[in-house]
Amino acid sequence: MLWMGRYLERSEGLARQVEVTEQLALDVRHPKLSDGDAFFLPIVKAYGMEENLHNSTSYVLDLVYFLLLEKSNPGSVYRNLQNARDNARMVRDQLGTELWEVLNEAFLWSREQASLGATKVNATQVASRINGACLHFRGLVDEILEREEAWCFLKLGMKLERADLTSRVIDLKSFMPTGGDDASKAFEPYVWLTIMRGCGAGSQRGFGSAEADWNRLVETLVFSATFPRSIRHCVGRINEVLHTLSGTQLGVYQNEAERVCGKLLAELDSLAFAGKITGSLHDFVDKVQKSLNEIGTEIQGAYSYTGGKGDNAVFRGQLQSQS
Amino acid sequence: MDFDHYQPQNVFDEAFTEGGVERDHYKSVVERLSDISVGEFKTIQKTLSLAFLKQGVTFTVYGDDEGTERIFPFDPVPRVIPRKEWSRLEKGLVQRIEALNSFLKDVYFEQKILKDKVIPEEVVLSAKHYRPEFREVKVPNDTYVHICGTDLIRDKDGTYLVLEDNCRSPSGVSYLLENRAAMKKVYPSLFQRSGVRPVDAYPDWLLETLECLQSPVDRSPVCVLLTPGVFNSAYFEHSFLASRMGIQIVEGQDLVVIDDHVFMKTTRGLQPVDVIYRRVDDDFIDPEVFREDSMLGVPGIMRAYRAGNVALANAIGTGVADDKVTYKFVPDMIRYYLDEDPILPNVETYLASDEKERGYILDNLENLVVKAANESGGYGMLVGPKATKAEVEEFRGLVKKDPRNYIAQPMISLSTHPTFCDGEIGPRHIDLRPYILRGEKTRVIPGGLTRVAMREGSIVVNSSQGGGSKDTWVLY
Repeated sequence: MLWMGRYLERSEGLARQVEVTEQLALDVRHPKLSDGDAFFLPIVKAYGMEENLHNSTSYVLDLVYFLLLEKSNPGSVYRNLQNARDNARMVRDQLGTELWEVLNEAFLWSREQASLGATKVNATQVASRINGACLHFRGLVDEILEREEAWCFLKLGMKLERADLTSRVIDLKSFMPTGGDDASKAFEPYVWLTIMRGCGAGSQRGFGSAEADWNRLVETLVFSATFPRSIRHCVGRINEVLHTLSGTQLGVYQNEAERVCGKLLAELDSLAFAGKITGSLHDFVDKVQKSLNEIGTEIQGAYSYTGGKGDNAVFRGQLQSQS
Repeated sequence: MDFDHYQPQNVFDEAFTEGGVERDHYKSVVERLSDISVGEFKTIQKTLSLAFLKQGVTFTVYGDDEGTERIFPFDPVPRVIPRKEWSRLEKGLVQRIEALNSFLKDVYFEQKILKDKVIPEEVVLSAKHYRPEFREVKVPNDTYVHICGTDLIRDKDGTYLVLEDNCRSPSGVSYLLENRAAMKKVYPSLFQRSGVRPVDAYPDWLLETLECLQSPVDRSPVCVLLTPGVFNSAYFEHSFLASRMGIQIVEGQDLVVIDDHVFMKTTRGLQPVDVIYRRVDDDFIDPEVFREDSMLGVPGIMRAYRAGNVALANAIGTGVADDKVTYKFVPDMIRYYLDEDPILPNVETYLASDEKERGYILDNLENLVVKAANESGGYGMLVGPKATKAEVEEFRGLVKKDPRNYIAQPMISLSTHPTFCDGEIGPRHIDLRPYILRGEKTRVIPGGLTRVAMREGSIVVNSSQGGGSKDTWVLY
């Protein structure tokens, strides 16, 4: 359940990212730097998929396909959906028909799309279909699942992944052209928009195409207590769910996962109060990712037999023993 | 898509020369469109229409009982404007808005241009939208027209002519932005390598334009958009712009004036308002000053405006500048105030109020286009060469009865553009409405609303009369 939530969230996040990036890249024109180099290779890097990219290409259509639908790329949207579906099959009994169908349909559709090949794929169409399915799934999770373990693990997976995704998207700033030189000046507003919209902060009031405002980015995507994709908001929800799961009061902890999560939340709260991050954004993001990984590992430590590292089998055993 | 049979008519065609060869700046578009089959093209058009309907990009047609909510028909063949041509247009438009602003300031203060007899006094004094009650009322930065939409057409040689200025609350910019967004989504490949300048910055620019009007000491200026309400035909645009700017959209009843200051009612009490982007006409904005029966306005708002406590964009009384009679004198204004030659010429215009010209109009009604001075949207208009005898006679009566209210222009055959209709590409008439913002700097959004008459041969492009629109590309 936890990994299903993660895979699904990741497929949605990546699809959204690719779509907004593709749309924004159409507006930029630069004599030296191609869109592929400026926008899409950084995404490949931020998501740690470099080693999967066998033929070095900077051609936009190829990279878009690679990120969305490439079957041989374990990080692609397609593969994430496939993983989520594989997990869902194991726990179909707990999910019920509706949830399964949403997931299965989305996967089958993307398989069909993948067979069309790179030149026929429309990123917007793919993203809107996948995002729609994920939203549908999430809505069902909240509306029909009992607030029992299955729900808790799904939520944990989704929120952990979402916090992690937000941190990766923020990290695009380190990979995309920004800072002093000529190319950066041309690209900076688009990089800022790519990041904001990549985290879903695009259609809200007042997120126009203003000049890059990095403080606002940190306020919205890291510190905000109200923006649902901000790291602080996600960690806050993880904390709540962890306590729901163990039945422990907030503020008291029963296992390492709760302790590490509480610590991270406290740090974020105090940073949010101070209003700024000391040191580089990249280092900060790195630290957050480490803490999130630690939370993930400790959840497994607390709730699975072996306490291994992100291995699906463990969770399968755990969940099956619950049912 | 087959362009081989595309036959430019006897007018200027944007994409093809008379000989049927595509113009340089259309090469890449034509090449790409040629690769798409008719079937695929139909799918694209359908996807686009669905996208608009889904987003609720609709407008209301008055006097239509059913289906009053319509989507603006959209043609997927983009209009392309090369860089050099655009920069000339840009200069011309900036020049025009400068002159119009100087004119408004003059008219509401010294009236030098009237005293120097460059414009006949009665033209201004008799204008329906002239507001003598606001003479000597100072406006921030001396700017009256902050947002202007100017309609341009091209004659037989491809020369751009100004058809009219819209200085009150020009609408349509949301279609421009949504058209672009939809085009990028549906066929991104058309954009790649063409190098099309983005138009996305408009809401930011608009907000900057508004914010520079007031500078309260202790906070950043609060701007709101005042709408007549959800039943207004352009309500979609109002909510779209407010949302993109991140400002509140309000109706008259949401605002209140206390001690000549304007406040907005919120769930957390009253909040002061500094700038109002109003999409409500002068007539309806304050029942204390203008129409008493207005339910859309805010009583007392004009007191706050006079006191300088709130700024309005556009200012009160700008309608005198886009009166179709005043229009005739804009080139004179440019020479008078700026001492420059007009970059963008007017369409030749005859005034019915002038005895000599009236004679000419009445003798040539069948060949002229007659327009009421203050109507828009294609209402109150006679297209002589296409009108029936009865219609011509009706207008003869109207012109005689109220000459001040009518002007006439020769029939200009608008330029044509390849347009996808009924499964094939054919020439249709188009115009262009660029949007100009005058804040700390004056800027023209690189693009515009290209309206297209979807019926073959028709030259009426207004959305209320079955016109559609196209995405407009200004190249890098």
